[in-house]
Formats: sequence, C-alpha cells, structure tokens
Amino acid sequence: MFIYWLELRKLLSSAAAWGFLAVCLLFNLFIIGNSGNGYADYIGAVSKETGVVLGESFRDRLSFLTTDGGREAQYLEWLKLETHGVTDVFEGYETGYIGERYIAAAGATGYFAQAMRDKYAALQKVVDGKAKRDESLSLYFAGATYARHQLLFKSLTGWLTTEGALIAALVALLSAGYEQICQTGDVVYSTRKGRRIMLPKLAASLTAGLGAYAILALLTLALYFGMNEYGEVWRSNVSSLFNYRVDWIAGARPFVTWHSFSVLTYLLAVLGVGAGGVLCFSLMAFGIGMWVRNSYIAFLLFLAANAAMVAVPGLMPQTWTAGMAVRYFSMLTSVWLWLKHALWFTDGDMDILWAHFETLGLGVSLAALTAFCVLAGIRFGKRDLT
Amino acid sequence: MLAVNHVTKKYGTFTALEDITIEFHSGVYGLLAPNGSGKTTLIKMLATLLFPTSGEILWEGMDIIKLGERYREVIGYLPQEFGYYKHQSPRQFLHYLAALKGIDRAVARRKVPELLELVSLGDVIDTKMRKFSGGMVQRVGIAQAMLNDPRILILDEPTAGLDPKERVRFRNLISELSRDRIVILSTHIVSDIETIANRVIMFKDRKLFCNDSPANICRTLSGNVYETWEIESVTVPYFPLTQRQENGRTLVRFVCESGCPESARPGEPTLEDVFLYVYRDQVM
Repeated sequence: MFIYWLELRKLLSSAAAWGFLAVCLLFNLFIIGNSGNGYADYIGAVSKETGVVLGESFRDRLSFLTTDGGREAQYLEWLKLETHGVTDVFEGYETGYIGERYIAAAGATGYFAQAMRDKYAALQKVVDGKAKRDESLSLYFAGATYARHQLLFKSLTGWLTTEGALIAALVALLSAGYEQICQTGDVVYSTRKGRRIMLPKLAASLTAGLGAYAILALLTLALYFGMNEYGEVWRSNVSSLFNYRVDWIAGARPFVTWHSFSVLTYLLAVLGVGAGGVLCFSLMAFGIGMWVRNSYIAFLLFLAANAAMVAVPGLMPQTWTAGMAVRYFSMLTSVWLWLKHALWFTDGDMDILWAHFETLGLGVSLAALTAFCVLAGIRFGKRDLT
Repeated sequence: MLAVNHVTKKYGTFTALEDITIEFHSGVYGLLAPNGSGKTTLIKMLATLLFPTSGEILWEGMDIIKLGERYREVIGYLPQEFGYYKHQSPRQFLHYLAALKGIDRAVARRKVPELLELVSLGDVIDTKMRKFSGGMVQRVGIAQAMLNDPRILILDEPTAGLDPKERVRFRNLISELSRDRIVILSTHIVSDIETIANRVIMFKDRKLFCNDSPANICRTLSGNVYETWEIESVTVPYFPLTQRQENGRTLVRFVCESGCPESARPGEPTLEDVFLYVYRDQVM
C-alpha cells in the first residue's frame, strides 16, 4: 500500500499532467461559455413553481405564473404553447420498424438480423412500460430540450470522457515508462519488489486517471450547473416527449432508454460509464507501456491501436459474415463506446446489435484489457531489461 | 555462495558472453576488462535484469530466477548509469527504494540518514538532487546499494565521477564491507581494485580469461616487464606499457618476452601492466 502511495505521488508531481488538465478545463469553460440559452434557463427557474410532470397540476401552476413583460413574457408564452395539449409519445409507439430499417441498411442476415429484431422486440416492452407510466409527459426543457440535452450529454460529457481518457492514458504511460524516462529501471527492478512494482504502478495510474476524470467532471459540471439553471428539471425524465434523437436511417424518434432515468440519474449513469471508459483507456495505455518501454512510441502506438479499431469495421466487406461480426463486435471496444457516448443506455443505432451495449461493452473491454495487461505484465517479467 | 555455471548470453546472433563459470564467496571480486567486454552483461544477469541464454546462476544452490524476491532481497546494486529522480531529495529517493527493498519504514527512517552521512551527503539530505554534481549522485547510488545491508553487493563502475579523495574513501568503505559479504566490483580502472580485490576476473573475446588473485595475475608477466630511459629502443617486438617522468626524464615500461635491450632494467609487474598487455589489441 505504501508503494502504491509513493507511485501515486510520483504521478501527482507531474507538471505535464496538471498542465493538460488545466488546458482541458479551459476548453470546457469555452464550451460552457458559449452555451447560454435564456429560454432553457427560464424553464429551469419556473420548474421550481410548476414541477416537471405535465398534467393538470402543471397547467394550473403555469397559468398562475406572471412576468414583468419582455423576454420572460415571450418565454412563458412559448412554454404554454409547447406544453398545451401534449400527449404521451410512447402510447401506441412501435419500435419494430427501426430494427427493420437498420437490418435493411446494414444488409444484416441470419444471427445478426435476428439479434437486431430481438433487441427491438425487447425495446417494445420497455416502450410499453414507459407508456403505462406516462414517462414522456415530463417537462425537461420543453422546446429547448434537444439543445440542452445534446450540450450536456453529447458535447460536455463527451469531451469529459475524451479528456479523461487522454489524461488517464498519458498518466498510465508515464507510470509504466517512468523508470525508463528517469533511467532508474536498473535500480528499481533489481530491488526485492522488482518487476512486480508494475502492479502498484497500474493501481496508481488507474487512480490518477480516475482522479483526473473526477476533478475534470466536478469542476466542469459545477461551472456548467452554476451557469445554467436546472431547478426541478433534475427530476425530469430524459425520455420526455420533448427529447428526441435523429439518425439518417430511422429518422427522428423519441429518446428511449432501457431504464427509466431522470436527468440526474442519467447524468450519474453517463458519468459512471465515462469513468469505466477512462479505466479502459488507462488499462490499454498501461499494457502498451509495458510492452513498448519508450513512452513516446507507446503513446503513438496507443493512438494507432485506437485508430485501427475505428477503421477496421469500415474496411471489412459487409457482405461477409466475418466482416459483419467484426463490425458488430467492434462496437463493444472502448474506442467505439467512446464514439457512441451520446447513445449510452439507449437502443443505439444501426451498428449496435445488443441491448445495454454500453454495459456489455464496458464489461467486455475491461475484461479484455485486464487480460492484455496481465499478459503484458507476464511478458515484462520475463524480458531482458537492457 | 553465488555460482555462475556455464552462462552464455546472446542477443540474436551476437554473443555477449560465452560459457562463463565463476564462484563467488565472501570478499571483493574485481571484474576488470575494457568497455564492451561483457562486464555489465554479467552484472545485469546477477541483478536479474537480464536472463542467461543458457547456463544458470545459483545462490546457495538455487536458481536466482526461481528465487525471485528471496534472491533480490540479498543484493545491493549500483548500475553503471545510475538514474535518480531529479525532483526528489536523497532522503525521499532512498525512502522510496527502501520501500521497494521491503525495509521496514521505522528502520528506513533510521538507516537513510546514517548511510547518507556515511557517504558524506549528510548536509544535503533534503536538497533536491537536480542540483547535485556527478560525484554526489554516485554517492547517493552507493548509499542506496547498501540500504538493505546486502549479502551480495554489485557495483558497476562505482567510482565514475568521484574525485580522488572520494575514490580513496570509497575503496576503504568497500574493504570494510567485504568482510562478511560478496562484493562484485566492475571497472576498467585498475587502481580501483588492485589494492582491495581478493580476486580479479578478466574477460577476453567474450570468454572468461582469468579468475585469480591480483598477485597471481601479476605473476603471469613475471620476468617480462622492463623499464628503460631509451624510449626509441622500445619498438616491435617489445610492447610498450606506460611512461612516467622521473628526474626530468621519461621512463618507459614495456613487455619483453625475449632478447631484451641491455639498457633496460627488470620491473615488478603490476595489474595495470597485465591489463594493458592482455588487452593490447583493444586498449592501445
């Protein structure tokens, strides 16, 4: 445990890591600074009065709201218009067509087509449940929902995952290559602890990576929620009738999640998967760092490995069963999970074959990358350290 | 006892060491050979940083690779290029290494200042090492090698960067330490070992050339070392060794195996003479 702390302290003393973290924060500040949305802020503020469940009570409270004129009057007018006579979008909503369109677009056959159909059959049950619970009758940010949802759950949390993954990878490579950089390998690896020091180094780099992600998330989100009024919207369901998603095959459709998420729980879940993704990239970088002892080459290899994972599914002929399998299974890799971050906890898109792909992918990636790290560690233990 | 049994080390097709067999008991062993002759390769194998391609290294009858940490806990190692954390003080760095060596923290708290005092770094114990001279860094290296009171002390070019006074201090220290442990000292500087080594080990052409006491090694040139003032007479087939100034004139030492010039006087062979003669193709 003491060695773990010493290794962690070494990483925490890295000016480069702190510098990169500061640059990331500045970048996030820039995104947040350009995210002003007066209407959304107004809804956040009035939600404290009206609540977020679109029903009789909401309409009554809304009708009692007054303004001093100007922009607020306009916002109130919009809100009344948008929430007037709304109906549950999940009532009678069929999901089967989405799967069929994806199957046709991908040319999927056999197991893949069946798996896609099974997924949307399962989603239909979820949609029916949401319809029963009137989940879509939730205010969220009314007409400003899409912009706000995309800002928080596509742009901001996406960047947070990207930045966290990059810092975690850099810190992991620094940890794995620290003795090479300082030329202390001969002394360190000939001690009683020897090459087994890689284990506390890995633990320290995972901690540092997660810690960096937590710091980034805390500061960025504190700033974001400090500048953007959420009020009672925290309790809104993310599958609100005002929320939707668009893809070029299935068109615009409701934002359906496998579970019932409020904005708060969805944010926590997304941050949780983001943290898992950060762990994956950290494991990958550390494994590569043990394999290739030069940290700079290891970083290039880390980038190349991820680029290859992105490119390979596109390069495989989709007329082959193997090509299709590669494509669908690739979606469970950490880099594809990262690319599909805006779809976490939803049914995904044409490339996603299985329900809960983010959880499945995270499990598969963590297991595979842990195995990779173990193999790299075994190899490191048996190789000459020249 | 530490035993190197028929050890060969190859890097691809290149053979760095071939069929080396040596036994180490308590005392100072000087590995004496020019740079690139395989000393560091052997030392790194003894420190478990490299693995023999064939053969085995045994500590008290057991393979050091299989012994793992049970072997590494009895060694202290100063590498040829001693790296350190520039942003740390010697105290911090030695505490870190003490943890890696499995030394109890309370023991380390007592031992670290003691050792740094021993190597004359007591007054800079909390100074960042980026400000240290090469000699000071080397002394930190010596201190860390002794942290765990090792039964096998492996020192690769330990006197590099030390000034003459420090070298003498270091030799005295090694002499004291060698009483109840194995000290393996690799160097190409003859004076580092000629007074303190119990045995000198030399490699030539990647193989073990000799493993004997300094006196016996010197004896191999007995009757063949001469000195003369007539520098121009020392030509082939004689092999010139060293020159020194005496009474304002240059005295030349050389090896002569037969037909020595009359003007020459016989000299007592030294380890340096043997070194220069054995490695005449590489050194001169």
